[in-house]
Amino acid sequence: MKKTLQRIDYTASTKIQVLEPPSYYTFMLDAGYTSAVKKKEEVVIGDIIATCRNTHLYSSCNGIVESVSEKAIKITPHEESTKEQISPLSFKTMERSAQIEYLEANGIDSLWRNTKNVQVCIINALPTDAVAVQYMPFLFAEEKETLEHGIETLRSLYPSARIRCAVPKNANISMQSVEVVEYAKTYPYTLTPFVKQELEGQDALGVLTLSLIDLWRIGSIARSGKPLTETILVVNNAVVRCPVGYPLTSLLERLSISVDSVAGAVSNGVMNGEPLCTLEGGVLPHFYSLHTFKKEEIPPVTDDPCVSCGFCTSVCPVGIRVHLLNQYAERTMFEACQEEHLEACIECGMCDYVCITKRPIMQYIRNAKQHTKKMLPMG
Amino acid sequence: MSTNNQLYVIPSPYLKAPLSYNRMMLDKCLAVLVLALSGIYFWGMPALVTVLCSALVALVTEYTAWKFMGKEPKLQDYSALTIGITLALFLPIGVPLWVVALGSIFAILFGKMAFGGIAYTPFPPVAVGYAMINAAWGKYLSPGDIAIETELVDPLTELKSFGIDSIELTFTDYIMGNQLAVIGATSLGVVLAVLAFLLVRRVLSIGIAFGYVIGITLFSYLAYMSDPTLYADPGFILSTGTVLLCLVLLTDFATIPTSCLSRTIYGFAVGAIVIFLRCYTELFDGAILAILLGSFLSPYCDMIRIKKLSKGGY
Repeated sequence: MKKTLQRIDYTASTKIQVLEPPSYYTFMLDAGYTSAVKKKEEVVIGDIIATCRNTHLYSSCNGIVESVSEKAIKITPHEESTKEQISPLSFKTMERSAQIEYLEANGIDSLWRNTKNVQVCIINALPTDAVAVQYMPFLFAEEKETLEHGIETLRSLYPSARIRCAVPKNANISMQSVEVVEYAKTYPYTLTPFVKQELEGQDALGVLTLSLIDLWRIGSIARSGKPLTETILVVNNAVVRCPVGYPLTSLLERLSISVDSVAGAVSNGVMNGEPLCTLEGGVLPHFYSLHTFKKEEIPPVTDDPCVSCGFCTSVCPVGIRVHLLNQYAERTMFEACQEEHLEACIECGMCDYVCITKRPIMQYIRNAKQHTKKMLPMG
Repeated sequence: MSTNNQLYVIPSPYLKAPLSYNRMMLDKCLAVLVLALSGIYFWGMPALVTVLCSALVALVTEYTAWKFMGKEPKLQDYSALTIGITLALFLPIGVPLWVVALGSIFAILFGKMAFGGIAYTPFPPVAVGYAMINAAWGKYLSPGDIAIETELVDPLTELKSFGIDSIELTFTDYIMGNQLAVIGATSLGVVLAVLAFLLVRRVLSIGIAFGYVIGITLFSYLAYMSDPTLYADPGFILSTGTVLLCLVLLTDFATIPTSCLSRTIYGFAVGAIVIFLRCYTELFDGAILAILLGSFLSPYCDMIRIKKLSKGGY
């Protein structure tokens, strides 16, 4: 079991690849975004093309909006734009609250608005997934300057906070401006709640946690003064720097992955990521990994009854009695779920991974969480 | 991928461990099949007939029950076949076939299907079937009944009737199968080899096997110390067949606790019940009934919480 979960090669010398521009861009609107542009409208890099509450989706190319539907906005690049380019902000001289607001508009929602409360800021540079993590050392090697900009921004946002960065043991990562802490445990103990618990103790207050990719995003915005229009993502075994909206089919073709052989795909980690139902869309700003599967590689999922073997409970890093919880959740006994500490589940996917009857345990738990949220009194 | 770019979607994780329930059931089925083959080797045609009768009746009963429930029969999970063969392992040769068939029907209907399938059963189905025929037609179930037809001796009958001193069997006899015993437990050597296989394949949990053996050893030692002329020593108890063969029944996940510690305690308790039944009842071999009684303790053993809830999740 552990052999499968540790397919991480820190010494691999893969470089971050830069892709050629695609022939069109697709911005998916399935996460609650509403379009802010019209058909045939001209857009430039950094224009807001869709919004969702305080978060915006920015155009990553100069071009003309070819189509707008409920699901997606399609933009064709057009370099000889007549519209004036957006000039960079002087991000570093902005007020703290305005900086945080701007970062939130770019989808970085883990920052605290009350800057005085932050005592420690932990950057989690550990593998937060069993497979999709190869890019971490490349960020340190190739994007060090951007990361330094990110740290500088954190320092200005939270002047009294100590910044600590948790890195894998023997990864030989050094950063002069922050305290680098080597962390020996493997997935799922590399997930942020455990790292926070290990580094600062169980009851520590004022601990802000941030993932390495979010630090890179902050650094990228601070450095350019422009909205985030690209992301770095792991696609199977390759690492690419990719504009937001890059069509997934073109992305796979450029990386010599046969689109016809792809029968399933998941973004942001194979253990607890989001499955994709189609390859028609484009890269979203919060993507940091994409894994594709051939038909025979997609694992089986059944609705067979739980046999109470107890493997799920034995691997649960939180200590939940999953063999009970998943059966309560399946039978919609949501109050019993809460008694079995439903809210403590961090959705690492280990229970699902070891389940011998291949039940969708995590899906049952997520469903129960959605229902119990509705059960809570308003406010 | 189909023409309109639609993908197969499953809930994440997209990574699953190779161990599956079907593989474990297949392992268990193979294990009991080896025990049945050893019984057929020692006892010949009568053993073969008993095993075939039990297995076939189990399969037919389960198929009929699924059909009666209006569901697709799930015989491919090896469960019915395993239950049928396992029941035959606990029977001596010479049991009338109608008794075997009724035992098999009871095991499947009242041990398994009445609760909705193998995942929901509170008792090992084999123990339910065995208990029924033991209660109704117990006179057929002692291996000693066929003693007049053979020179072999049944150590358990000897012990109950004439005391420990009357038994002249050596450890080699037990290992090689030179004794009167039920079909599956004739040779201790085969039983041990099969249990080792089940342990390695993670079908039998180490905790339960350890607790069970320790429970039996400790309590039989205490009984032996209280009256060495009446009660057998732990070595003898563990050498004779069904005690260890019963570990095959402790692989039904639904009937045993879930954590290693609670399984160890559960195994220990079942071991204690075995010795209690042997010492204070008229049963020659109380092991299988001890497992039926022990199943009542399973939920209580499961209340023991080993892992503390980590606040990492909050």
